Amino acid sequence: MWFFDALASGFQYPTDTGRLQWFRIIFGAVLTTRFVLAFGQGGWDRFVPGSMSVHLAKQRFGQARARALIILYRPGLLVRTAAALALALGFVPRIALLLVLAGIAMELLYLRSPNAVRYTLLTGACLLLAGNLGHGPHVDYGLSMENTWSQCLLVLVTTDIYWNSAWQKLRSSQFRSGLYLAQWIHTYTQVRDRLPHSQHAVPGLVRRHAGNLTSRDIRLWRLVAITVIVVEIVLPPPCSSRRRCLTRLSSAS
Amino acid sequence: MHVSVLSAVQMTVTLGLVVWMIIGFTPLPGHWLRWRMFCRATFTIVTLIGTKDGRAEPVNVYDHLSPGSFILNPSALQRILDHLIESGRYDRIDGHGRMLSADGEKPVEVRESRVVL
Repeated sequence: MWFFDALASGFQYPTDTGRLQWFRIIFGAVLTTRFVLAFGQGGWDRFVPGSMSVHLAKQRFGQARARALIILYRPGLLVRTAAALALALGFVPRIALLLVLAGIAMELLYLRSPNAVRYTLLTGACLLLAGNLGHGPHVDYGLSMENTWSQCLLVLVTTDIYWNSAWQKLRSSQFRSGLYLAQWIHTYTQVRDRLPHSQHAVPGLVRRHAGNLTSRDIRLWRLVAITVIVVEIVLPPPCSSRRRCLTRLSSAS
Repeated sequence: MHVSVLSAVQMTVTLGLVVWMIIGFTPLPGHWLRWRMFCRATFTIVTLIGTKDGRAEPVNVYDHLSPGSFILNPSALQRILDHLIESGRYDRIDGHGRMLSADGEKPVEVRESRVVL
């Protein structure tokens, strides 16, 4: 397996540079989409005067820093979107990647549980360590050691997110019992008409037949919970690489 | 940089990352490599009425959450109530609802802008 061979050789093991360049292109494309979508759903109007987000920012960072965040927020949204597009197209990819990472890191300042942000920052940092990110929208194929270390780090980070997530779920009785998923779907069913920007597309059939928080519903969601844990454990053996990272990136975003 | 030095640096950084990952499986502090997606949460389903100068109107507390989010615990609910009162939008807010957590379901009440469990 290339991962263990690369590790054993101290990363002096040739891999196809094209693999990581494909990751760079798809990473850029996924983030371009994510950043464009972030303009909608109330994103552009976060930090409008008198809003809860302004109140929370002032509470958390104080007047001066909150003001700086509010001023930089909208230009930040624009710059990071342009940078993500440049990254996907291979235009000054390393500088574009740095701007993309700064743009995504901005979300740590106002999102409550930014798992997707942390995962993107970690995978982006791995990408930053690649020796050959490529230039332009084409991919350079060929064996070299330039991207081997970066590729190994991506596999490690992605394997960790699956296994650690499975571990955290195993330790949570709320998740294991099916209660978490049953409560999530029930709460969503109850409040969805009051949500200004719903980002969830839960089919009506699921809401009607599994969203009532009955003991049958909880038993059903327990099956789903156990399946999720098993899939998270089985899915990412370190022999996999790019494909798993990309799947996770799409789902986390 | 000489190949062996580069390799040693890369191995050290990788080892550091692996140690950091292992910490994520222990109770030691730190949250960066601890992926608690969909693990634990407290949900609140609540209906509120806000009163301003004697006039009452419904308050949609979910309007004030991060876009797309609907997970609301009692302290977050209290922060939103405080904001709505401090900003002068309402004189008082009252209401009732249910709180769902790992412990099951409990009633929750908002009395004179305070969350009462």
